[in-house]
Amino acid sequence: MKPAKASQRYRGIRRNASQRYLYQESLLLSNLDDSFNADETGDSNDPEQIFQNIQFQKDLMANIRCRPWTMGQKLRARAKEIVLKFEGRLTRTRGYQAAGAELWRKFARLACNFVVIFIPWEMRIKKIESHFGSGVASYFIFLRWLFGINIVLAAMTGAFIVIPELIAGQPFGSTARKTIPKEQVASAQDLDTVWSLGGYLQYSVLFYGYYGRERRIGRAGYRLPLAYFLVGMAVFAYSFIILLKKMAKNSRTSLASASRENYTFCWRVFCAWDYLIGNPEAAESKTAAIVNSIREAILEEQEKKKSKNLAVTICLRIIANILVLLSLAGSIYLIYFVVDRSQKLEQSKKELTLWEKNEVSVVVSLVTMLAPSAFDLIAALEMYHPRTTLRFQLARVLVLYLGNLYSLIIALLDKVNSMSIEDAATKSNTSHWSDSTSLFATRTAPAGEPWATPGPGVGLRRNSTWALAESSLPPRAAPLAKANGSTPDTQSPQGQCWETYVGQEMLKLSVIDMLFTVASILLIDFFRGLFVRYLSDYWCWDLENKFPEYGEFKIAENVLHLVYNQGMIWMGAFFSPCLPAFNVLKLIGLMYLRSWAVLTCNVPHQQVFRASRSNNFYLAMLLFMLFLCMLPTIFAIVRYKPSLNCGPFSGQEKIYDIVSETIEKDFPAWFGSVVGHISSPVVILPAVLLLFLLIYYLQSIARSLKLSNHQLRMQIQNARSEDKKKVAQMVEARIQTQEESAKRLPKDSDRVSQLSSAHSATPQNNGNVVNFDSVSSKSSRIETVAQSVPQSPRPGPRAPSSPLPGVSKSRPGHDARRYPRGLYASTGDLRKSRSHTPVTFAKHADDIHSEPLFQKDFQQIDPSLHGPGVSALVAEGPRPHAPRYYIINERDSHKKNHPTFWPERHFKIDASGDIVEMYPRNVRPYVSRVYPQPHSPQLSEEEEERPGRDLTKRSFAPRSLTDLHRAPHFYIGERSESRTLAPEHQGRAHYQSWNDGFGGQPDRPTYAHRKPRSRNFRHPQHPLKPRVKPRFEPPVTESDSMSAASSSDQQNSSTDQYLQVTPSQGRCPRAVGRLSRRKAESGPELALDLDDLIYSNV
Amino acid sequence: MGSRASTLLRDEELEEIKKETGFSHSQITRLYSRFTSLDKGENGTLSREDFQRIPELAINPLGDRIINAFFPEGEDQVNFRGFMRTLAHFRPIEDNEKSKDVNGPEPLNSRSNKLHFAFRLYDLDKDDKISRDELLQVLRMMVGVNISDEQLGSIADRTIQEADQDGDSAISFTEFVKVANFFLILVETEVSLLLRLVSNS
Repeated sequence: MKPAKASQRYRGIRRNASQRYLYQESLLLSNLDDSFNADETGDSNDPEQIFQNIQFQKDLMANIRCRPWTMGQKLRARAKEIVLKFEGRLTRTRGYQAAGAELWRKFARLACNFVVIFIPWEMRIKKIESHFGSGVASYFIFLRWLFGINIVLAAMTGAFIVIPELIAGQPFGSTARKTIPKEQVASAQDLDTVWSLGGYLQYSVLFYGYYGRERRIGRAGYRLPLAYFLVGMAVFAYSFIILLKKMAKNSRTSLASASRENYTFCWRVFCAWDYLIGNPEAAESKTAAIVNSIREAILEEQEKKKSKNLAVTICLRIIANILVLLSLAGSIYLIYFVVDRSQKLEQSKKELTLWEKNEVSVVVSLVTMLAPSAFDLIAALEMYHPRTTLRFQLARVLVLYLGNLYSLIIALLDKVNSMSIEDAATKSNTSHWSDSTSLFATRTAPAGEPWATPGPGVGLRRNSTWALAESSLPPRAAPLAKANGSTPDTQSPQGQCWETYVGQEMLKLSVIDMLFTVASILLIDFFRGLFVRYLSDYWCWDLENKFPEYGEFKIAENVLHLVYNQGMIWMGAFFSPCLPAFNVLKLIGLMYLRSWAVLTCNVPHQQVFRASRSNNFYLAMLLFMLFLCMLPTIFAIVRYKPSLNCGPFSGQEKIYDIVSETIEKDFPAWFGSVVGHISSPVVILPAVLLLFLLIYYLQSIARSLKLSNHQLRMQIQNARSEDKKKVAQMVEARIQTQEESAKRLPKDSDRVSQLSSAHSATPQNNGNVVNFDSVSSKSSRIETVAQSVPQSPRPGPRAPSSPLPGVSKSRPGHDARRYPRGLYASTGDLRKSRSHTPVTFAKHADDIHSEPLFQKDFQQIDPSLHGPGVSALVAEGPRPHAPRYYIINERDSHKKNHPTFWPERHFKIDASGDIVEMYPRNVRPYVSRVYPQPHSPQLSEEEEERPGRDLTKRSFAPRSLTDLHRAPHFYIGERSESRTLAPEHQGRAHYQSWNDGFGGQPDRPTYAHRKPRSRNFRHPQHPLKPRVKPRFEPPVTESDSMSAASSSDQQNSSTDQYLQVTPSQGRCPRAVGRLSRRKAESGPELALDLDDLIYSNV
Repeated sequence: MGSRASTLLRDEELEEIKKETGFSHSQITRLYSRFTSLDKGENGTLSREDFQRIPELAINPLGDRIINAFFPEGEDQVNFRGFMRTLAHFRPIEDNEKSKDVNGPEPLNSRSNKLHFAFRLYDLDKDDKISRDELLQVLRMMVGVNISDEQLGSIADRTIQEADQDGDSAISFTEFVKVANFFLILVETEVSLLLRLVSNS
């Protein structure tokens, strides 16, 4: 359907025209990509048009076949492709297909809109995105994604563990492990018990301890313990898989959309505003966003050129890093200290206050809340680029969170350790006391923590438990609980179930974290916002802009917080199966609260950087977190003996024994042996080796792909910059030549047209004009000149040291013949002019590609091309003006003067005039310095001319430079003048007279020189100021040409000569040139202004 | 309103507008009713103030430029024809659009005309070049007083430097079109990527 879109822009004939143009163009501009043109122009839905087009294409093909082109040129005309492509369109089915496709697309769009309703929070996120940009939105998308993961996790644990237990397991209170100990019943409903997740909550499906140890439950014989273990592992497996998948996908897309490096500023300036914004607030925030993006751009610029005091920054950075490390160490120590203290407190005190119970979680949450801000402040010291700052900040916060979690979990495991020792102690009784201590010693060792302090505390505790163990010999829960009543440790029954304890702690942490999040949102965002908003008027400084300001949404910290939160879930999920479900609720609440807070209290970021956008970075952190959170859990599962009194694995030596037990008991024997073989080193070792090999292989492939990717990108970059360079060179070359010829009659556009005509219509031109022909045949030289010219322009036309290579070639010609010098010089000029014409033409072509208008124009003019006589064109005189005018406007100020007001019949004159007139100027630079010889003969003949030429040389050279700079003035001035002149032109159309003197070429050109030269000579003299001159010139030249055309009385002799010279080019070239010129000119016409149109009508 | 509008609008006029702008009959009548509701002076023409009452234009930093685009050079009023002619630039290009007159002018909503319309928003002096000063003015409009002049100037310089290809320190329409094409491709690929992301996640 896509090609069809463009179709209606093109009409049949226009298309034809464009096609015809196309093959000419394809000859001329091999480097232009004309596929656009071909595709666009060939498309249409209208069968009639298609038919016409196909007919035309067939004609074209026939035409092309008999042309002496190379195959590549023929192919580039693409006629055949188009025929093949569109022949099928004329059928009826094609129409149905199109209609069906249209319908389907509409339906798909509708369906898309409908689906959006079911994507949770889509509208909310979109709203936030519209206000705060994609960075902030990415946080919410990430949140939503985590929410999705947690739903799956919750579904897994819920479906396979919690619900079976609830339905088929032993009901609450039926066994000892499912009842609250009697002495606790009284306080089971107290607030602080509930708060610390004790009492009824502790003996519920929330925690590991509640689940029964029966291997099969219910009538169906559901193997709950096995399911518990498998689900616990599946949670990790699923998380890993989904994370890796997401990361892979993200990296794919991020690779695909890597290059927006081009035109960044243009993007900011031209595409900044969203024109659909109708809400003042949105407009405000959009403006703010634009300001931000521009600020960011400025900042980037400044960062690039910023030269800093190295010593100071390095010192500052070292200090900052030391501070960060200190605060990290401090926070870790603090957490460990708190955990340790709480353990001591538990032992020494019977009744703990609320604070003492929650100390650990509160401190952890406080640290996680406050430390990032501290890091933020510290980061200000470092003076990094904001993006680097953000990265550092992220890394530091991540380390902080991990440190917190780890110190917490290690402290917990430490406690667990002591608990299992108690267990072991109770079980093995007094005789094994020494064993258990040694066991303890070995167990603390692997934890490998920085703290040595636990020693005394644990020792103390051990003593107490030792006492406890002695007092209660039977290891069963109920009696133990009774016995415990007398011991100082009130928590001993719970303490016997370390899994539940860990689960409780994690859940508690999660809950408190949630509360702190809510509190921080309210406090830091909402109340601050209120405060700033309403007290701003009464405060002694500007609250809104100075100190508190409104809160910004800190993407990095918030995302990390999510990661941290998820880490807690992963850590605790095994011990508290309902944790994922709880987290789902938490995330939902967070989503609403955050989005509300963002929309009400926050202002958009001052600096938005792409780093904050890269989701993969977050995902990588999450993956890292997952891995690190899995470690302690796995460690606990593998290392510790499950509690004797609670949980599905009680009584087993290790938790994972459940698998081997199941395999032994519930599967046929052969399966057991197979598993045994598979798990033997014979299989495992090769498998690991194979894995390593695979990883290495894939890694190397990825690396090589990356490299090739990089190289390709570099190539593209190079090609682009080279293109730019080339264009710049060509442009410079053109500017220079124009500069030289700026005050002359010849029009660049004419030259362009000449050029095109020369190429497209060489057969017609052949033999007509010596000059012209030679030039056209020398088309290969164009390139050489084009290349050589760019070098010369910089030194300036006057620098004698840099003669133009192209010119030097033509010089011999000058030398050889005295008279023909003009002629040859003119060819040289032509060539020169050509050296830049490709540029202009290329531009035209561009226009044409994107410009249907042009084609239309061309088409209109088309008939005229084929018109038999040049004379027939008289009536059209006024028309051509307009297009030419545009060209001028559009492209180069330099060109503007000349092309404008030459009636088209003058074209030949122009062409020849070009030659003639250009001669003095182009030759000027080298003639004067490098080549005095040719002049001397001429001097003798045309004495009056010589001084004139010299004069022009001198007077013009400076002017040309100024022209270059003052381009704008130039054409504006001209325009007005040209308007006034226009009427005069129209009246005259006397070119028929030129046809007569075709014969004596060699001689006449010299005369011709004279005239133009003298003309030039004249011009320079009245305008003393270079700047003023250009304005006057065109009119004068025009008047000259007009006079020439009209063969009026003024300058009689010269005009005659002039006229005689002109015919030498022959009619055909003129016609062709005109046509091609029109082609070339009509392109720019799109640029038509109203006044221009008016003008052309005049 | 629609029926009233259509009665007010003469058939032949409607036909002409249809021909000129490519709007459908119903679109024209709807736009006409919009036109009359905007026309507070009820004299069949809109003034600049009328346009400024449109909130989208009022809050748009480039709103004045857009409004200016409705008015022919040196005039303060625009009639329905002119109104429609300008609006035609915004008409999306339809797949099945057929042109009756083959030789007629290019439709107003062609891509290049659209681009040129956008170009003119920046090209204040209508010299078919966006100069540094013009760019600065636009930037100033967009950012207000938040950013200093020299900083904006450097942005403008960089912008021109990026887009400029012929070294004249201004952005011509050709160059503008090039940049726009680049963005179009960029946006298309990004949109398709986004779509893929959305549909996948």
